[in-house]
Amino acid sequence: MRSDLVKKIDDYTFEIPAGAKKGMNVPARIYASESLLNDMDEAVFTQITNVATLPGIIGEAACMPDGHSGYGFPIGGVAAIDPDVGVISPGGIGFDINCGVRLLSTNLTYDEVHPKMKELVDALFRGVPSGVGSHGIVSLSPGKFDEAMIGGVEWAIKNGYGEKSDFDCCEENGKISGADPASVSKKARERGAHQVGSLGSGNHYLEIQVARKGNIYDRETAALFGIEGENSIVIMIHTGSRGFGHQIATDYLRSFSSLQNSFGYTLPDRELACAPFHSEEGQMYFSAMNCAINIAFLNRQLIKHRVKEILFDIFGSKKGLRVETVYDVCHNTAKLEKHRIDGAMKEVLIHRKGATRAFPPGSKDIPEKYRQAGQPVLIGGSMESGSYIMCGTESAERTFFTTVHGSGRVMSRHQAKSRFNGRELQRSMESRGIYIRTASYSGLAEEAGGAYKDVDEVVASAEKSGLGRVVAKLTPLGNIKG
Amino acid sequence: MDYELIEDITFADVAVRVKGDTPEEVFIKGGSALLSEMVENRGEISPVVKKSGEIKGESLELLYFEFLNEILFFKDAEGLLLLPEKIRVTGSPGDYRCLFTLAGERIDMDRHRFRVDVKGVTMHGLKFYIENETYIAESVFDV
Repeated sequence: MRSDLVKKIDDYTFEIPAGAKKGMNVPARIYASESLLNDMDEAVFTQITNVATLPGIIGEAACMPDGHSGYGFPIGGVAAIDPDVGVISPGGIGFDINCGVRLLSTNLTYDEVHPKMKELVDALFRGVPSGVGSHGIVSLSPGKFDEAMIGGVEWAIKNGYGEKSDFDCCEENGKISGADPASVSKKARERGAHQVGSLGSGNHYLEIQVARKGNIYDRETAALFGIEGENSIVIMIHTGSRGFGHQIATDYLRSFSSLQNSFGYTLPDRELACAPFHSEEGQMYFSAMNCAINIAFLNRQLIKHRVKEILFDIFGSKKGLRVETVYDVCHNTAKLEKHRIDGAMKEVLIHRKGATRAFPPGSKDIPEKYRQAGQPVLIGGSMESGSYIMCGTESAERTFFTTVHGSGRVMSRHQAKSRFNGRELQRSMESRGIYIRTASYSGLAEEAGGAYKDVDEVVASAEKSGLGRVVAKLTPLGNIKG
Repeated sequence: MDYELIEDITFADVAVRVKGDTPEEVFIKGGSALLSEMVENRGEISPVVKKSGEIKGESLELLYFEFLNEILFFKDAEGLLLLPEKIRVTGSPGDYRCLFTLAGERIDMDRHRFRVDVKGVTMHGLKFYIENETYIAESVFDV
């Protein structure tokens, strides 16, 4: 697929027509500024047009402004599938099922936290398991693991690792329906049972952030989202379902791949292997994936609980110390949602891979306290550049209420390692007021800010495309990298 | 380095090519490449724990996919960093088998210096082919 086939629709919308490649059922649309589009690698255009060939796809194959090449779907890829005639594809979700972000608000200020930043980051690094091979905060027996696959955040609360407000402030209340442990392999259980409550590695992190003066763009909505004012401290947690989700993805990718001929599918990328949604195989994967979604919710919940304990250990003398979940968003899922299709509401299966649901004001699927403003959307930037809070808007209907999830890579991991040195980067960041602890200096180099797109431009592109509204920018102060 | 990184396949993940005179050599180099992408000092993994088994695949590329995934499974399920020690590939199209022995040791955060965790071996760009009498495998690791 050549990028010269991309047609400009408006300043922030570009289209590859459905006839550009054999088998495309719908056009592919890329939402980005011209400069972000020009920075996208060629594989993005190949991959998003491959997505457009999926059986049952409706409307368009969409790529968000932070899009970059992955496998199967590009990162930032979105597809709405008619479940009655269409498919479910593990490659449209990814190995890290329900990789996502949780934001915690506090009533701590920069002036209170800054003098203790090293103490706080060191305590978080010791207290929150991270890196390759790390064991989680809990180790679950087979029976408890089954309960957790169904219960997610609710399981955590029942077992003393959270409070009701956590349940209220997660997508799907941290407990998606349709999870059936019977669809999960023995291998997935063995791979995941000891990792629940751990960050992992790669681009996963735990970050202390501040809403600096001038970076709160909508004070009323920011206050609603727990940002009390300038210099408020928040904590961002980015992780997923760990080895449990990875094994579920592997199991069903293998199974679906061997069945493509019997299903009559000829797809341009084996990683897009899929099954009819209502087939036995499709339903098995959907049930197993929902188990992984709930384990990822639980993973972030357990980390939140540990972070809260550490904050109370260090800042407990502050009268009325508050540490609360603002919201918890998913990046890698396939969910049944009701959307307007050709003027009528219809249930469709939305695949989002490296993309965030962004429901508008009034949606019954977001917490009541946020319903007037729209869903909080948490965008994790690079560890050097900052992150954003947006809120969902009606204008995102064209992407099935989906928006960006992060900055998006602009160079490969290998290129980043060649260009940046992890230890030098750590020192440089500290001189700029960002104290970082990592389990891997090589991994740190791969995650350098220069390896990512300009998050300000990504978020501006999302807003100008109508894919949400900016509420506040968050600046990093301390970071734990897996 | 017994493997090449393929730069133009993916930004988010790691694409690797290995070559050998036999399928067994490719499997051994592929398993080593997988560990090298995760562990900086891969050469310091001592072969004190051994795991043996047999896997099946309809094609050599699917057999290779299964083999690499076995290594990832032991890393997460048992906390073991294992390198291929003995490999025997048999069979024909439709029914390939691989008898393997992996050797290594338990993850030690004080001794092993990690790069990144590989989450999965994808089927994106997965290839196992012969060119100029050399066996070549290409695969993308999700990190």
